[in-house]
Amino acid sequence: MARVLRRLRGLALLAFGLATASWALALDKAGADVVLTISGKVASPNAGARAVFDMKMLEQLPQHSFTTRTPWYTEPVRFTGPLLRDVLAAAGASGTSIVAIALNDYRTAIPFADALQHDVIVARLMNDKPMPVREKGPLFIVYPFDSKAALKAEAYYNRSAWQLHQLQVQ
Amino acid sequence: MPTSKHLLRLLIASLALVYVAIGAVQYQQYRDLTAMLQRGDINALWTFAQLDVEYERLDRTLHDYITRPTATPYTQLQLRYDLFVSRIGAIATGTPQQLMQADPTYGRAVQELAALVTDGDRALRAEAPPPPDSAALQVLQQQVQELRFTVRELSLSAARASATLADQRNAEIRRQTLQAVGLTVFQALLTFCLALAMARQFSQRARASAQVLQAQAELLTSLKRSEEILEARVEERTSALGAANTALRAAQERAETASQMKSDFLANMSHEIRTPMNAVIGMSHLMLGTEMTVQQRDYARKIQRSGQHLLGLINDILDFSKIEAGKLEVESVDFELQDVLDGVADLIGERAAAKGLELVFDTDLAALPPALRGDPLRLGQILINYASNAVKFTERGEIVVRVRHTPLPGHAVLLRFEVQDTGIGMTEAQCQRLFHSFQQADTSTTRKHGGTGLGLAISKRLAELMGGEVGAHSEPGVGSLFWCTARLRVSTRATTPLLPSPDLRGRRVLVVDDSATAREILGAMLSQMSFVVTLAERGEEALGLARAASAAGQPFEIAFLDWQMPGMDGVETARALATLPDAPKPVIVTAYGRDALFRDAQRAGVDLLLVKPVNPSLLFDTAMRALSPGLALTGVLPAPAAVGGAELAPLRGARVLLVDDIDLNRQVGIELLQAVGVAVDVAEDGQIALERLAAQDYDLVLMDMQMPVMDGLDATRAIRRNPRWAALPVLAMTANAMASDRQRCLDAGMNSHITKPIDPSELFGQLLKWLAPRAMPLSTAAPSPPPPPPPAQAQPPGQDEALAQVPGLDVASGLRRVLHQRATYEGLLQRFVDGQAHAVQAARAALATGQRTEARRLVHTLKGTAATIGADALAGLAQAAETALERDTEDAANEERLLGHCEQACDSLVAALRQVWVPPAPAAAPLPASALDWNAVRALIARLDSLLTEDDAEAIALFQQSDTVLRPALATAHADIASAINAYDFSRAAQLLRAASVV
Repeated sequence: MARVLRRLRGLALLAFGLATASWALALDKAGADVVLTISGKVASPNAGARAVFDMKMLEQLPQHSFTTRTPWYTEPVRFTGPLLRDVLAAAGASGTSIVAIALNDYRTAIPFADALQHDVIVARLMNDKPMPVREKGPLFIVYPFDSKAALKAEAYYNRSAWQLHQLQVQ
Repeated sequence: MPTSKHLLRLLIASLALVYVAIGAVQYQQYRDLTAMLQRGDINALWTFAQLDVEYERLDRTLHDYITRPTATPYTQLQLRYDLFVSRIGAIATGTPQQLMQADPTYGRAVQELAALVTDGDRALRAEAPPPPDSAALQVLQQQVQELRFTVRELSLSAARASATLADQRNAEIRRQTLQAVGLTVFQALLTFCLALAMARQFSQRARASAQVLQAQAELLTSLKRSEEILEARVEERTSALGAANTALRAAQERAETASQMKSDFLANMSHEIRTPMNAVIGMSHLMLGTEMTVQQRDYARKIQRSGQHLLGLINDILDFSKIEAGKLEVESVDFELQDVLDGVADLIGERAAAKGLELVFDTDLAALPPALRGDPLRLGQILINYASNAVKFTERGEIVVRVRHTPLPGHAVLLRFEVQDTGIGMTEAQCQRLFHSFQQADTSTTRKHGGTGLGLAISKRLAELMGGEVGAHSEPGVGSLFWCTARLRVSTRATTPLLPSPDLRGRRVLVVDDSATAREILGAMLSQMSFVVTLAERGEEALGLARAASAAGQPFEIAFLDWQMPGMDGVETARALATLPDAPKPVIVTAYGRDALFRDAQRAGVDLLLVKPVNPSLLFDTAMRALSPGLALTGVLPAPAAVGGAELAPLRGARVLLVDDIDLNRQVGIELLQAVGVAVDVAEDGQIALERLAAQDYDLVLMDMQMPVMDGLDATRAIRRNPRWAALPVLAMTANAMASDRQRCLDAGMNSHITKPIDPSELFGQLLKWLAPRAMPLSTAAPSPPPPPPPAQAQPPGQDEALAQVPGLDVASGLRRVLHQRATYEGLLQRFVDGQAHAVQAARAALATGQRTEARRLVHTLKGTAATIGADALAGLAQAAETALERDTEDAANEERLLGHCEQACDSLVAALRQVWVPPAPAAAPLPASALDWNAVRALIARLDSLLTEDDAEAIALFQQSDTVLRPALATAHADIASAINAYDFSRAAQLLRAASVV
């Protein structure tokens, strides 16, 4: 049984790898104002071994929005941004774990599967407005906490990194 | 039970409450914990630590930029500043604010940091293209460094606050845990209690059900026990009852046996008594037919009378024992009621007349079917009983026998008989006791009037057997009325038709009688025959009425005139009526002898006479004759009954075999039969009878029932077995009077039954019935039988002739009254001579001493007895004297005149009778008084006294036997005593005897 599962996972990864290969060909060169750098296992780098994104590239990815309550705001807040898995796919990144690094050097490990299982977004708008650094911007990894009770847990709150600027795929 | 139930309910309610409470508490805990967890977010502490870190970085970058502006890019500085500002923003909202809002340092620090941001923004605006000068940066650096303590303090305070919060949270958790534990313990306790209560309830229930089971078992046991006891008792009782039943059955059997034995004994005794009685009565009857002296005749007559009286008593007792045994039966034969009433009239008329009483029949027989089916003898028995009682208890006045009938459905009638008298009467209480066995109105009357006291009880039973009832009303001193009813069927037999009738409807008749009762009865009878009747009390009144009716054109056609009336008598009235233009046909009605009157009446032009008691058929015949001029008057007077005369002629020459084992009975039978010219052979038992029959032909056999060798029943059966004798009449002759005996005789083949003692008229009646059809042809076919011996009872011709010559005595009339019983008539004459010779003298003596009532009674008795013997003239004179004495106003001269006439007539009659009837000669010459043995005389008188007091007939014999002694001993009183004894007035005789012997 365990062997069958492992094989299935292997197939899935192979398929994902083929998909990301097609994206890697399409990843443009970023502008001067890079907001996100993806390093590590990146199949479609555009800046050396890394894939880098300016805000405009992220805007061009399919956008996703939801409103959720968070420990950080007293009122529910609407977040908008591309799905994490779309961003990773754009970079051709694949792995088992992602380390998200914020501007203040906060680091948190996100299992790669989270990006596939949950609609985790790389939020760039809060309440439809861009987020400055002072207000946890420019990017904020947000889980859809209100969609599943299991997500309302400290582990997921810790994985939600704000002031994000770098992802290391391992 | 109820407490545990309540407890259980309480527990359940408590548990429910506890669960609700637990729910509430846990919800509250959840809320508290959530709040606590939100406050104690670990991120808050992290945020404060990050503020500290970013502060240090900003400070260093600022220092680097100031010291070496080229080595450090400006954007780097801006980024650090923005990061620091974002950290300040982070602690101002969310969980950091929640954690620290209560801390005073927090507010101050936030204000100071905000102030720094205001200054910092002015110096480090991102949009400001030229980098700020170092002076401004140095001011900013100084401002930043001044905040070092605040930032550090904020971070430490956050650490302290977080620690406090952790402690609070721990305490809260502990408290809530304890609360939960407490609630759980309480809940456990309640559950335990519930379990306990349930267990208790269960055990209670188990105990209760065990108790119920035990109680049921006990009940079952006790029921079983009581059932056993009951069964035992029932068995005990049943066996006791069984024993009692057996005893009762045995007793009943004994009683039935005893009763049967008693009945048999009575039947046997009846036979045993009747056999000698037969001899006594029969022999005395025969003796009276022989030549005897007057004294002998008197003895014989008294023997016969006593015998008949005794027989009456025995019959009463026998009837009563039959009632007791339930064996009394009534016959159902065709009869005519008139015959029954005639029988009563004959029997009672004599006694009534002897006491001077008038016997009146008031009947509605004209409307009654003449022939009925029933038991004429028993009906007659009741009426005779009533009537003889009436006579017994009535001294003066009249006795009315009344008959009424009501038709019933189905050819039946309800007859009601009443016998009313004007006697001494009874009280209500005495009336109540009547009709019970052995009861008389007054036990003392038994001694005076005799009788068994069973007559009324027997009458009651007889009436009941005839489907009727009996009863009586009475008033002391006024009179009594006894009544009885009987249901009888109307006979289908053809009856003798009455005379062809002229139409009687609406014919007018006049009835004249001074007696209201007689007048009304005659009137009622005539009304029932559809005449229109007018009543008158006196002759003068009748004359007036007839005159008026004649003038009105509605004359009377018949006048019924009583002979004896005050003022104009019947004959005078008839004469007066004859002078009227439309003279009614007169009919004289009389209670006296007709012969004397007849001549008188004929002279007055009256050829129709009616003799009281008037019976309807005679009245009807008379009325018819009065209205039919063609009918001769000669037919009116009935031919005298001729027992022993022409009627018995068919018996002459008949040959009869008399079978009886008793010598006396044979003698009686032989003589009775020979007297009427019957040839008699005798046989001593059945066997001999059969031999005699074989040797010679007989016309009839008279068969006794009980005989040695072969009894009457066997002999009869043997006779009937022989065809030669199949038609031979065999008549039973037995003293067994029971109906069952009679039935046995008929069953054995006998034709009829004659009861002993033999009543000659019954015997001859039966002989006529069974011999007549064959005797006549025999007498003509056979050579003339030898002339019969002259009747034994016939008087010597001389005597009859002598009697006929006595002036003032109608012998024929007197004999008719006693059914031509010569002996009876002679007895009446004897009694008249003995009792009435001095009647007028006695009446005078009574008047002299002021006893007017007694005088009247004496004259009344004279009148009655004179009428009875046929001395009608004397009776008329006595009647006149009595009428005079009845008046309240004394008219001594008139009374004396009337009494004188009476005395004259009476004396001449007595003298004439004495002449014809030789006075009894004394058997021996009386002894002189001095020669008497006075001791013997006293003993004799004492015995005579006791016999007289007991009404014993022996007294008569004793008196006459002792004549030689008593005559001198009693001296002058002897004649009076003799006359009293001869008149059967024993009580008076006893009084006289006592008065005389005092001397």
